[in-house]
Amino acid sequence: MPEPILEVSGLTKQFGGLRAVHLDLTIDAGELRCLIGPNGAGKSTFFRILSGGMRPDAGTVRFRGRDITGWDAFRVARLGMSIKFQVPSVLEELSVFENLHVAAEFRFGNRGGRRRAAEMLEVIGLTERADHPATWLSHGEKQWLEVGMASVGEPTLVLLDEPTAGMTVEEVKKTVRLLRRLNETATVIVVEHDMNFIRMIARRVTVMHQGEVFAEGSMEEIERNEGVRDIYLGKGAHYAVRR
Amino acid sequence: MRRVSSAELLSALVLLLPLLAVPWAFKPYTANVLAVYMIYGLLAMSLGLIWGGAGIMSFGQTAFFGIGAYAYGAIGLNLINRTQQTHTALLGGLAAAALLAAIVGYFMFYGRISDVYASIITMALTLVLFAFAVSTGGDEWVIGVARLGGFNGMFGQGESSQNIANFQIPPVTLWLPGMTEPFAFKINRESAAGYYLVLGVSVAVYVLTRALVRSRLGRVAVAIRENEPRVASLGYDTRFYKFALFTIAGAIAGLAGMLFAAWGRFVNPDRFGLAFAASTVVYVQLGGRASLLGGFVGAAIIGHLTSYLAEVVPFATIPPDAGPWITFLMEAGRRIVREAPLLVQGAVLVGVVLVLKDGVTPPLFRVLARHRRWGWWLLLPAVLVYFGHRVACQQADLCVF
Repeated sequence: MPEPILEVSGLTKQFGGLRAVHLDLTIDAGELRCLIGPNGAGKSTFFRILSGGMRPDAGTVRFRGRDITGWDAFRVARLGMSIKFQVPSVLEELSVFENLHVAAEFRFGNRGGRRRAAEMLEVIGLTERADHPATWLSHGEKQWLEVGMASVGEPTLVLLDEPTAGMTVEEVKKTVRLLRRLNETATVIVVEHDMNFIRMIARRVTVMHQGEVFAEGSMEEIERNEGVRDIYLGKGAHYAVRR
Repeated sequence: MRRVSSAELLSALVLLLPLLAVPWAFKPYTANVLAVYMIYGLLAMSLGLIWGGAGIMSFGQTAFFGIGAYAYGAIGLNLINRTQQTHTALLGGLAAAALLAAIVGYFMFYGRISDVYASIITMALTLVLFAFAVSTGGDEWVIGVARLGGFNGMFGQGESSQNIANFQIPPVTLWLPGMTEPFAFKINRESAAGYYLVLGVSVAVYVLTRALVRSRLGRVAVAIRENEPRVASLGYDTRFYKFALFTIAGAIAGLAGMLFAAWGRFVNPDRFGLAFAASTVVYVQLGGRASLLGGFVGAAIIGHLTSYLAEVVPFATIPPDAGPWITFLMEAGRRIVREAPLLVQGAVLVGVVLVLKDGVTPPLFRVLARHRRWGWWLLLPAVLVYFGHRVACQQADLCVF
């Protein structure tokens, strides 16, 4: 029986009259969980609350057995949670290597961080661009760099918000390999819109709708679920989800 | 990146060589003037450290400069006659500036005030101190023998029996164990020790600050400048890094302030004033905040330009055979410069910033890093020729500065 690493109960965030998030969710250690849902379902807001960027109005988040509700971002990170934001947010003026070095230095110190950063460059395939400022990278490369920054500190839980947004098919495949590798050592939660990508990686999928958990199951179950089709394609649409 | 920064280091060395020879080749006046440029440069470097390093534009960096100067002055005036040295004054000035920066920094960064407000808060701080310092003209504003003096600035008043005797803030004076008598760092006809003190302190602080920028503190600060939420989500307590860098920058500004008080043996509320605060920002913007040398370069350019415009141009003679247009233009130029050197200074800043938005040093270092072969053979003679020209024209009494 795997241990739950993240337990979210009654988590609520209200924006004026709009209830953006209201959900209960449990993630087991070692999982690779996909979080899908139409725009405005509250996925990114949920991530921001988890990673300490935003305080919830009610509910609790327990991570590795500790109540981290309302903690500052840096304390959550120190407990082993890292995040790749929705909008690529790398350190634009710093070189690719320096980006990874700053990310690794927190846990491994200057020298250890250098070694880890160099290893991570290999993994994300940006060794040749190590000395380029991050701002020169393409959109896809920035996404990889940020995934690298989120995983170089050997976190226990990684949140990835749309890691394949704007990527070509080949780039998506590379990202899938990257994710599988990351999942060997860490629990991963991925928010994505790209159904092909979800199909390639998914074991368990959670569908969010209007801030709540709408459905949960394997990709096959989710694809058969008529309610999910309705929220994605509008009520009355009975043709299959695009393959 | 690394090559650019090695270009910066070598440029610093190239500039240092002629600076070492200045008191030997020039009049004491020149050493005196250069010393104050370096003091302003040190202040500008401290602003560059926090502005370029962490993206926090401290408009009132002069507050720490002024506090350092006043604290050094007050302690120095009181102790110099008793102890014959200024060790306590130096420590006190540094501590006062660092403490003020730490208090202000603590409330700004742990209170999560955004960086834009940091500019406004530090500017308000320096203006509040200005208003306070101006209002200390009365007889009740006395610390021991040191009168704060309001607009007139700080001076010491004699003990009760010799009321007429006013005396000035002491120069930096050391009396270390093993020395038979105290040594005062003065700048005058006999001694260039004060000049070398300022030069030595500038070089030492530059080297230490450079090491700091390359340490974890500096690297994380730059990362915070780029994207603070990103850095926080890597586990760094960004508030602490900003607080620490701000406090160190405040201490460096205070050190510059102490050197200033010891250099001019005087300090008045103008050091807290808006004009001085703004010109510090101008130095950094003009010189370039991406490198620590930028502040020094900016201070030297503006200082040199201002003194040139104020002292040389107004006295330039119009040739008698010049045509009416030339005469008109020269006369107009003379008047503009005489009436408003600050106008010219502002125009230079706007002009430079329009062309080089990062200031003058970054493109220079980039060129030097890219063309290492001939870059040095160009820069070194250029510096030598410039100084040689200055020496020659001064020996012949052709130029004022």
